[in-house]
Order: sequence, then C-alpha cells, then structure tokens
Amino acid sequence: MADIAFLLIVFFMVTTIFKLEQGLAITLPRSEAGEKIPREKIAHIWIDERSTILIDDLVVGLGDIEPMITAKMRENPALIISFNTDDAAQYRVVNQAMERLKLANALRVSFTTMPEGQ
Amino acid sequence: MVGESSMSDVAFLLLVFFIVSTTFPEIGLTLILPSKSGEVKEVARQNVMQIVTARTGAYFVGTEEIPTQLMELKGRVKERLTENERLIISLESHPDAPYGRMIDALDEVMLGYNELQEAGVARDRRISLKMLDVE
Repeated sequence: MADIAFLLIVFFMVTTIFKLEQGLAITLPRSEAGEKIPREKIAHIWIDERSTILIDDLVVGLGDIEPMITAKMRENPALIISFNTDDAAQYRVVNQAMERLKLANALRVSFTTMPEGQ
Repeated sequence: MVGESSMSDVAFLLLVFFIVSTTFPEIGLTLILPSKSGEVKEVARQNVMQIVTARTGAYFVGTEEIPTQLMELKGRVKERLTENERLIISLESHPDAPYGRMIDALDEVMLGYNELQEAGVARDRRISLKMLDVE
C-alpha cells in the first residue's frame, strides 16, 4: 500500500509544474536603526524599480492613493503606512505618494527595510 | 500504547504548521509627515542641517561643494545636534536620486539620534523629508 502511495507521490512530484508567481521584484534597502512596526496597524504601499505602485496587492495609479488610504484611515485612524520601496526606485515617486498621503491625512509612515547583515 | 512512528508524524505535522504560520516582524524607519492643513513654519537657517542626496546618490551637507561620505554623516549629525537642541534635519533629495541612498542617509541620522540618546543627550527627532525643486 505504502509503495503505491509513494509511486503516486513521485509521479505527482515529477509532473507538477508550479504556477509562476507574478510578483513585484523589490529589493528593500537595509538599515541599522530600523524598529519593529506593529503588524495590526500596517497598510502597505509597494513601489518597484519601474515606479509601479501597489496598495495591499492592488496595482493603483497615483490618483487612487488618496481615496483608498482615506477609506483605510476611517477603519483604523492609527494606521501606519509602510513603504516597501525598491532600493533603486526614484525618490520622485515616493515623494508623490507621500504628498497624496498628506491629503488623506495619513501622516504616520514607515520605510520598511531589511536588517543590516542578513 | 502510542506507536513510535505516529509520534513522529505528529511532530512533523506540528513542525510544518509552525514553519508555515511563522511570520517575522517587519522593521522600518518610522516618521510622522507634516500635515497638509498645518501652517508653514518659518525656521531660522542656523537651526536647519540640510543633507542633500544628489542625482548620483552623493551626499552634500548644506551648501558645501565637496560631497560627504555616508560614513561621515552620522558624526556630523551628532556634532550639530549636540550644539543645537532645536536643530531640524532636512533630508533633501533630487527627484531622480535613488530611494535607497536617501534611506541610507535617514538610517545614519536615526542612528545619530539613538547614539546621542544612549549618551544621555535626549533630542526630539526633528527630521524633514523634501524633494529638490529642479524643474
């Protein structure tokens, strides 16, 4: 019985093709002074090297930031916006996003980094 | 009686469960942005330390023409903070400057504050982020 089960496992292992993930490739900058961010208060903004912006897994344009964050702020006024921005992204995009956050009155931001030396 | 093999099954099940469910805490550099509705404050020039990140990623302090190395930034920040408790650190970046270079500078500034605090010189974190107006 176990032989048959193993045969099946091997069969499926060999024939399985993994679904390719189409994620953003982001290399976070490193920091020494980074502090822990309380997980329950975070909303994520992702910005990759080619200036694609995502809010919590949704691709958005600059204009969508303000209404989306305003809605999130209504649910949780203590929200911290965490910027997961690629090391090589242009500062311009981050600045534009921050201007939109100010409009949404979301003033607590955090720049997510990797700990130094990992 | 509990069999030896079912015991290890349970152990593996628990192991897999914890491997899958463990998440590591996110770390980051946290700042409070100025409010859009707030009034614009005039600040005396001597109370501001400008750290400019150029397009190339080089750092310039104030209006100096010679770039400052990343390693030197922390020392200079600490020096200025020690003499002036009302100092505001203004991190100004070129629009095309790489984000990572600005974060490196911000990290050094934060470290400067932390080290001063450990040395007993408490300073409020007065950090301002700005984009250079180049157009």
